[in-house]
Order: sequence, then structure tokens, then C-alpha cells
Amino acid sequence: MTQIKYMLLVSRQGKVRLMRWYSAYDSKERSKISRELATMVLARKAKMCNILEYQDHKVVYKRYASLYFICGISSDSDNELLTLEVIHRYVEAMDSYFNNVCELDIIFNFTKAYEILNEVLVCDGSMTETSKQAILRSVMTMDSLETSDNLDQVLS
Amino acid sequence: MATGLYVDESRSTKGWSEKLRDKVLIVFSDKVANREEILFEVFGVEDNAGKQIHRDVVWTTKYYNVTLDVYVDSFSSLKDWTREFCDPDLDELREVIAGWIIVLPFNGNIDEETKALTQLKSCATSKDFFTAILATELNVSENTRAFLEYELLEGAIELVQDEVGSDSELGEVSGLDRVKEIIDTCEWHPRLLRTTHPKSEINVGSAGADTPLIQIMGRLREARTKYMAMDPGLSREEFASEMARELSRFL
Repeated sequence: MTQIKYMLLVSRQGKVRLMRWYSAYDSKERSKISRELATMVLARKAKMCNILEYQDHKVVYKRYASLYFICGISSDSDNELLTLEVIHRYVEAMDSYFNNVCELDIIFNFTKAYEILNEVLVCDGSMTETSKQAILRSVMTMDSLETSDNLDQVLS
Repeated sequence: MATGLYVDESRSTKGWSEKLRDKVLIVFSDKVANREEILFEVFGVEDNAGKQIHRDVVWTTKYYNVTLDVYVDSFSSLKDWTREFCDPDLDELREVIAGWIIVLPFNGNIDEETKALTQLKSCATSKDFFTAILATELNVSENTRAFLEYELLEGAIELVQDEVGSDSELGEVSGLDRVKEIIDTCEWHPRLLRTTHPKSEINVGSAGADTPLIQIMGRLREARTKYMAMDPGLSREEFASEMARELSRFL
């Protein structure tokens, strides 16, 4: 079992593209964490370990193309390898949804990226769904509801 | 550097209190041999007789396109160029650039380049524009490279090596493709952006890959707005019938 404290998505240029907080942090702490982690993780070489200690917890990150997926987890109770798997599941789901996801897809469809993340992790940071098909089915159901809602609105 | 670069005020600033960042500056070292190739590959412009400003270059991605000016410059000494670029006289230029790219080789002892880039980092970087260094050669020790990358990173400057191929495990693009990706993800001012609808790029579930649903929705919205704005009468009903016929062709 793993319970993620936060997930950040940072570009190679150091810009935070997505952030989701599953533990209570005030805005000052949030900006401090995202600023410090962006610098810290971006400075690491490709062959360095993907797990590092930060403040009172651990940080697990993985790079995909020009994006770094960074997760904060509890030092004692959470599993680092499982966290890497959670990140990978999330990336796979986005990859299938967007047809080879890139940074631009996330910038222009950030709400979709959040929706997919919501299907992977629930509000306390624990994993809710591992099946990529199930995740995509839920997101697509939401899409069709949204489309028919828009259609109703236009036709009304 | 005898730049000759100047800002075309009539286009970028006139009528707006805020300056639009619609210029990309690309600067080449004299040692770079394939300048024409790089310019053409990245921006699709030809380096005619050392032309310094290429106007109205259309940058297109699957989500938007934007019209920008490409400013081309060159230097023999990065130190001198940096000093001049950081000069307050060029404040106006720095305020309208969307980003800069410096193309140069790194060979052997790179102390001078490192010093110049450190200066550049402190005076000509901002979160408002992108900054990248394209290294046509990177023949330095691993430690020097790591140091250089770290130094540049502090100023949010990305070091891109001009190399062929990519690390398939990370799915990362490199070289000129990465430079293009950096420009793609630049935060352009909304007034500069013209959005395009990517067709069938996203799996929109039940919509089906061939149905231009977004297009139909857009047309419906436009038609509804126009219909509501028209005065009641025959012309309004004719317009409604015409739109119904047009849209039924999609269904």
C-alpha cells in the first residue's frame, strides 16, 4: 500500500505543469516544496537514484521525455517501488488517452490530465484503480457525458 | 557584436500598454558551420545573405499557431556579446523577446563560456521567456558538463546537445527537435495565439475517430449565437434552415 502526499509534474525548463496535494500543506509550504524539488530533481543526472530524502519524507521521481513526475511519500510506511509503478500507470493511461502524450497535450488539456489522475489516485493519495482500461473507460464516459451536455446546451 | 537588431515598435507595442513577446532571438557562434541548416530546420527560414530579421514566421503546433519574428545574430566572442546583450540599451529588446537560443560549440576549456553564461543568467533570464543553449559540440569532461548544466539550470537555461537519436527508454527528444519542443511549450501571450482544433488526436470515446465532433459543436455554437442576434423574420428562419441542412450533412 502506498499513500502519496503530493504529486508534481515539472517540465525540463523547471515549470510546474500539474500539482496535486493529498496531505495538508499551506500555500507557503506548497510553493517552497515545488520550487525546491524542481531545482533538486532537475539537477540530478539520468543515472542517479530515483528516490531521495527530502525534509521529513521521501521523494520518488521518474522522468518521461521532458517531464518529471515527482511524488512525496511517507518515509516509513510507503513503498518506493510501488510509487514508481503508480507514476508509470498514470503515464500509460495518459499516453493511451492522448495518443503518445507530450508536454503540449498536458498544457492544453490539463483538466483531462487531472481527471485521469483522479481515476488513479483518490483524495487521500492511495491508489484506487490499477487497470488502464478501467481508467480510460471512466474518463471516456465523462467525456461523452460532457459532450452530450454541451450538445443539449447548444440545442436548447 | 554589431547586432543591428532593433525593435519594430509599430507592430509589437503600438496601442497596447503591455508589450507582446513575439520575437525569438537565435544567436550563432562564428564557429558554427551549419547555421543555415539549423535556421531552416527550426524555423523554416533561409539564411539569405546573413539576413538578421525574418518577419511573420508562422509557428504551428497541433494546438495553436503564432506569428513571430525571428531575430538572428552572431558573435565571435560570447563574452563581448553577453556584455552587449546585458546592456541597459537593449532593455527594450529583452522586453519583447519570447525567448533566446544560443548556438555554440563547447570544446576543451570552457571557462570563458561559463563566465559569460553566468553573466547572462543573472541579467537576461526570466520566467517570462524561454532560454536555451544548443551545443553543436560538447567535448568536455563529465564533471564539466554536470557543472555547466547545474550553472545553467539555476537560471532556467536548458542545455541541449545537437545530436542525432533519442533515448528511447525516456522517450526524450534531443537536438533540434528539443529546441522546437521548447518553443512549442513557450507561454505565448493569448493575444498572439490562434488556436487550432487537433482532429482525432485524442480518443474521445464514443465520438468515433472520424466524426469532427468539435467542429460540429463549434458550428452549432456560432449558429446559435448568430440566430439569437438576428431580428425575427424570414431571414432568420432561412438562416436556421440553411444551418440545419449544413449540419445534417455531418450526421
